Amino acid sequence: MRGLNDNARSKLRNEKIGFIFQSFNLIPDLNLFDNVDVPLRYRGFAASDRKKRIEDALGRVGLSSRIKHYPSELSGGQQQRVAIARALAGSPRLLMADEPTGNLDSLMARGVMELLEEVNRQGTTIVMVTHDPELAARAQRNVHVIDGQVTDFEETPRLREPDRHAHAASDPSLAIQG
Amino acid sequence: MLSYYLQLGLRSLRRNPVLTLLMVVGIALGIAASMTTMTVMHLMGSDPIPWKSDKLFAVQLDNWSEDEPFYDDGRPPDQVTYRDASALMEAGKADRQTPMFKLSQPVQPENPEVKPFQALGRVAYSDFFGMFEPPFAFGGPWDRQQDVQHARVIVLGKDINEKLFGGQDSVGKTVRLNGIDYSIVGVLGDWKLRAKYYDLTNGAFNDPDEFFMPYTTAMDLKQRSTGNNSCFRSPGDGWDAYLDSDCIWQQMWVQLDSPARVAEYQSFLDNYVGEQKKLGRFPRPLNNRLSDVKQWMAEQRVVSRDVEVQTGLAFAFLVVCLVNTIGLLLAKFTRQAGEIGLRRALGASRRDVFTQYIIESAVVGLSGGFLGLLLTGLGLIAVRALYSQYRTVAHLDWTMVAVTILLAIASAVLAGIYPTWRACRVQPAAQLKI
Repeated sequence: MRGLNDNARSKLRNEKIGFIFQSFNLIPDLNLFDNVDVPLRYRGFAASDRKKRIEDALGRVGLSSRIKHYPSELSGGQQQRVAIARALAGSPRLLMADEPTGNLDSLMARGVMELLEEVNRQGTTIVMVTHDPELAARAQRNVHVIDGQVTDFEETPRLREPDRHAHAASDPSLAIQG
Repeated sequence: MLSYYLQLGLRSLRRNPVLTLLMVVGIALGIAASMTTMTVMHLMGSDPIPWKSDKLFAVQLDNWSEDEPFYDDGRPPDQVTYRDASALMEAGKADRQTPMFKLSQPVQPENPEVKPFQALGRVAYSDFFGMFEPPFAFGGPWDRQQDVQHARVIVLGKDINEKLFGGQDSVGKTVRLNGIDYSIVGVLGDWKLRAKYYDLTNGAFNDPDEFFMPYTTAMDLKQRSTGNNSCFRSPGDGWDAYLDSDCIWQQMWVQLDSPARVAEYQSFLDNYVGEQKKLGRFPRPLNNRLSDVKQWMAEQRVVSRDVEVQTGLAFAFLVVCLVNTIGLLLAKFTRQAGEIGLRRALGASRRDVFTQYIIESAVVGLSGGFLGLLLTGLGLIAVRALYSQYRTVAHLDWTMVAVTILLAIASAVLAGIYPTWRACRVQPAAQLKI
């Protein structure tokens, strides 16, 4: 990565990595179609190809019927689903998720996690940052980071024990699935 | 991608309407001030007869006093004497030629409901019409035979025909000027002359001529010019002494249809003055000039220094408006840092971001251009109302419409370069915390 120039880095982000953010980061004055279209525009796909990918991605997250809606017309969970659709539309090999359920209530969070797990099962590697030990426990690998330093590395998924909850919740956990 | 960026630019105009409005109005004001003055300057100096401006020549002969030049910079006089005008006409060396001068005459209408009035017209040979090509609504010019016959014929301008005959075809009727009846042979249509380039000596932006009278007829009637008349010594008493004097009061124009003909005519003029020198005239060094229409307009400063200064000041105001626009664009793009970071994270290169935001600046410029065009139109209406001498040149033409829009876009893009460069520097991680 260090040796790559700006164009090459942008291309790498665009083609290989999908991003999901805690606060969704949808563009408010673009409808769902156009929001999902953003990374595809930089990819140089033909219009017909983009349209198919956008419809597929929104279908995958269950929002086909809301394609002309604007983000403000959706719930938080739905917005995060759009962000996932945007991340998936370019068929990336890696999905990076920064606390994807941090701004959602537990019901919506569960729905988003189930969607991510399904994406993962279909072959996409997901790197997720979370403070929530329950979510971390659903990952196949956990890496604990404190102040930028890796402090623990767990190879197998497991549920956290009660006495570690407080500690895990206050430290950022890096859950690596794949 | 261009259409995508254009869509984003248009959408962005709606996102911060107040900021957008401030920018658009700022650019529009600067553009309107610049284009109002520039339009006047452009039309003042534009070629009034582009299809033959390089074939029509003003003739200058330096017959002035040996004690002092006519102009300090050595240019010969703008007008010629009756003697020289007559000699050049008699020689007939050009493809077409005419001396001319301005004449004021009282008009005595037959219709008792129209009161007598003073009209300003032009005395010329019939070649005038073939050379300067005024459009005719009715009839046509008198012919060369009528020049020779000193015929009492006349061509009326559109306005005077409207006044005397209600705009009807008056060919064949008569009109009385200063107690003499003239038979009307033609009536001009709407002659859209921006500058009266054939008589800059008497004012480039004076009213159009109201009538045209044969030169020979006017000389028969001993008509003196009511335009400029300059003498470096007393002409003596009486009409004949005046005609024989070195007083200059006529504009001399010739049509020369090829460069070879121009060279021949220049040589003819030099030979003519050489002969006159033998007769004791033309004491100054040989200084005869032929200036085509564009050269003549430049030499006579049809575009005045004042107009040039006003245009410069207006462009300085545009620069101030652009500096203001730079600040507003900076504020707008800074507010969009989150979206820029997001786009960068999703794969936009710096070049993509630069292109998007420079096009957004251009869209602001385009909007400012349309509003500026409207304000320029209002500015020109104000110029026509305040300065009647500019009423023929204070109009937008298609060239200036295009220049207005392009200037607005170019100005906004120029103003957008720094804010756009700053937008390109936005780091995705700084905005998105990943």
